[in-house]
Amino acid sequence: MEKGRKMLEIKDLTKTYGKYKAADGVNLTVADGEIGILLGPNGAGKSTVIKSTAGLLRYKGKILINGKEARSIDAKKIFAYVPELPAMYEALTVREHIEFIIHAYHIQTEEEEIRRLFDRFELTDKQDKLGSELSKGMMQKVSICCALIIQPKVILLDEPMVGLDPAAIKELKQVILELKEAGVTVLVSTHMLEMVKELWDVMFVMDKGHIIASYRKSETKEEDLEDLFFHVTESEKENEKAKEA
Amino acid sequence: MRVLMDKMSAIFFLYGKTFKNRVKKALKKPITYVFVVLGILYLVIILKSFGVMFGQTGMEPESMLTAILTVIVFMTIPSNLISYSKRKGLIFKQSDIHFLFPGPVSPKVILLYAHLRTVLMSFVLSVVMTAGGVVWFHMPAWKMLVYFLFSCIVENILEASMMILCYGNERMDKKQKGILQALMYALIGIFVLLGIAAYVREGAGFDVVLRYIHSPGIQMIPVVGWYIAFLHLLFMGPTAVNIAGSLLFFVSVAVLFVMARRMKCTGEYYEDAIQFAEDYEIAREKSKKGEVAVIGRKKKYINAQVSYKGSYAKAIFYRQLLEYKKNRFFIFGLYTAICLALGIGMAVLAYRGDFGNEKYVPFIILGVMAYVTFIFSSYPGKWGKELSSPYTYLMPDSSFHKLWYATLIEHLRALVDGCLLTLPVAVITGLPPVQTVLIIVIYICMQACKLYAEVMVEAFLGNLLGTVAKQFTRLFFEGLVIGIGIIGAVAGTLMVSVDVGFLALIILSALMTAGMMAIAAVNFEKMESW
Repeated sequence: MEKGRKMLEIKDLTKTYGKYKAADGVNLTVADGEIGILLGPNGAGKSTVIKSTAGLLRYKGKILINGKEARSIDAKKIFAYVPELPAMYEALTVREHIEFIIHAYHIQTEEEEIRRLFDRFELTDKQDKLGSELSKGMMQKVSICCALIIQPKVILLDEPMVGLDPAAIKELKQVILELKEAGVTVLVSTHMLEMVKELWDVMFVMDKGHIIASYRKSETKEEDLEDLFFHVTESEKENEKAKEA
Repeated sequence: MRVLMDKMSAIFFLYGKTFKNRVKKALKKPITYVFVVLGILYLVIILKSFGVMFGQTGMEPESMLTAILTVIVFMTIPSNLISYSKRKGLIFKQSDIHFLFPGPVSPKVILLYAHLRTVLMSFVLSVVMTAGGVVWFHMPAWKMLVYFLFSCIVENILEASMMILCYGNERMDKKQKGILQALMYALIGIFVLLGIAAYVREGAGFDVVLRYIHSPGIQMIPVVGWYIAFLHLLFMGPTAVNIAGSLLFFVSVAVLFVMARRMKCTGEYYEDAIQFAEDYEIAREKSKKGEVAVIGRKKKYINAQVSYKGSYAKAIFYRQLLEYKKNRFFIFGLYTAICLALGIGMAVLAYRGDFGNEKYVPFIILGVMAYVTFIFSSYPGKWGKELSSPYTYLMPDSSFHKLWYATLIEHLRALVDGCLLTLPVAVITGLPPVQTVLIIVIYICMQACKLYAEVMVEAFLGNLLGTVAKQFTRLFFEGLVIGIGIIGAVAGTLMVSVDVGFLALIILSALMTAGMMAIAAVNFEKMESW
């Protein structure tokens, strides 16, 4: 696949709930094999962007995955989504969740691949547990495994570190870096700056439904992510105060 | 067909595994076997008794069967069509939203999956009615087989097509959706109007209902009426109206099917489905806790304040009071209205002299009170919520105090309801004040007994029993306490007077309720139930 190609494109995305604009003319692009971070305070509109991309919401604008409409079946075949709050099928075991995903995505997977994933996320001894018996952290691990088993070209992760233990966070970061190595496009939505410091290639800062800044790691001359974030959000607040005054 | 099966393979996997695991899990619980035996017994009794009952009506079996099947159609299809037109009615789970919606599964297939989950009950009903048609109404087996295939296949094609056309339609704007909903209501409206016309013309009566069901007008109403026309054609023989209605029904099903198949659907309905799933989940959680929940309706709160007059567990009472003050109707609700209606109803009957001798009045009031106490489920009180809050257990006070203050408002509600039930009839009949007060106190005792029986059952059997089994166990303890109380009351009345009898009932039931309360207090010791 051509390096640097626009794998995930969001063009003029606007999502309204009544009169409230949760996302207002959002534009962003993440190239093939890049890790994009969607950063912003609570209520900034990050999840709206992710959910719209996953096809869960109605919206105005265009979202393309590998040049295809995000809602099309062809696009869905190559992207995976890890929601902020995982929800399991109560009567399905951990292994059956994976088997269901294999059916739903119509993919060929070796048993070895499933075993490797379970080992990696410490789920081997939990694979016969039912969805209703899992803790939140465990559900998040299953959710991540379900996303990885489809071998996506684009993966959307909405606040993926929430609920994970330190070992799983470390493992997830490692997985994200490996996905990048394999040419997968990753978009992570988070408000936990310290969790994504060493991961990002491109960062989009969101506030009140707008992208207020975007940075490329290669262009920031080793500047600290935290400094960049607070610089832009503080100046945004000052601008607002000035406008109000 | 094979392409469809391929598309549905994930859905069949999900459906099959879920069903298998649920059965496996249920078979591990001994209570399942009890329910199976009870279910079989119930089915045998129903099969026998219905046969006898239908035989005794002296009506033509064809007419009776068609009428019953028509009533089933009235009860199911119109309400389903209205739900679909509102993009409600199909219940998706949070797990469907997580795994199915973002996946490469056709949005139409996802709709069929949601529909599949609802067909089990209608399938069972079709099996029962098919068997019943042969056993109870002695219909030829081939006719019942045609009915079975019709209800299982054609009806589902109709419902699934309508569901896809309503949910999956991405071209309809808000106004057009409104028109569709209005049309669905208009369809039901025609049935209602014809019913009212029949009532005005002929009055009330079983015969009138039957004539209404079999009338040609009903069979001319689009889709639902045409369905009924086919039932008439099958069981009652051909008429010009039912032949035309049946033809129109099959044509409309075919047209709707083709339209649903051709329509483009990219999944814009997901957002509505997600909203409904969230609202449904909230309502389900609320109803599990015994609260009244309407899907999608958000509770509005008013501004209120409360001054805390006490510390420790008393704070629970004042916090609950604040929460109730923020409610538009304070501590009152539907149950209060029912008590008021019953109180006024009894007063009217007493005024008309329908109670006969006035000395029976206190016992009639108590009978009504016992009925509402046993029949209605318990108050949707706040004590259950206290058990799920860690602060309840961290509070430095005794578990008995915590239970008392967590349930105190329920006793005040019982006092108000007791007054509403008693005072109107007491005023009309001139019941002595002492007896009036004693009756109200008895009602408070009954409600307290019900409440603490529930807390006690929750404390010791909460993890072991399901909702129904817990209700029966609660009823057992409640009946035990009130039964012993009644024995004391009868003895007191026979030996001394009615007032002493009532006093004996209060003392006995209060003592036993206090005992249950002491046992139930363990619920407030630690978060984990016994």
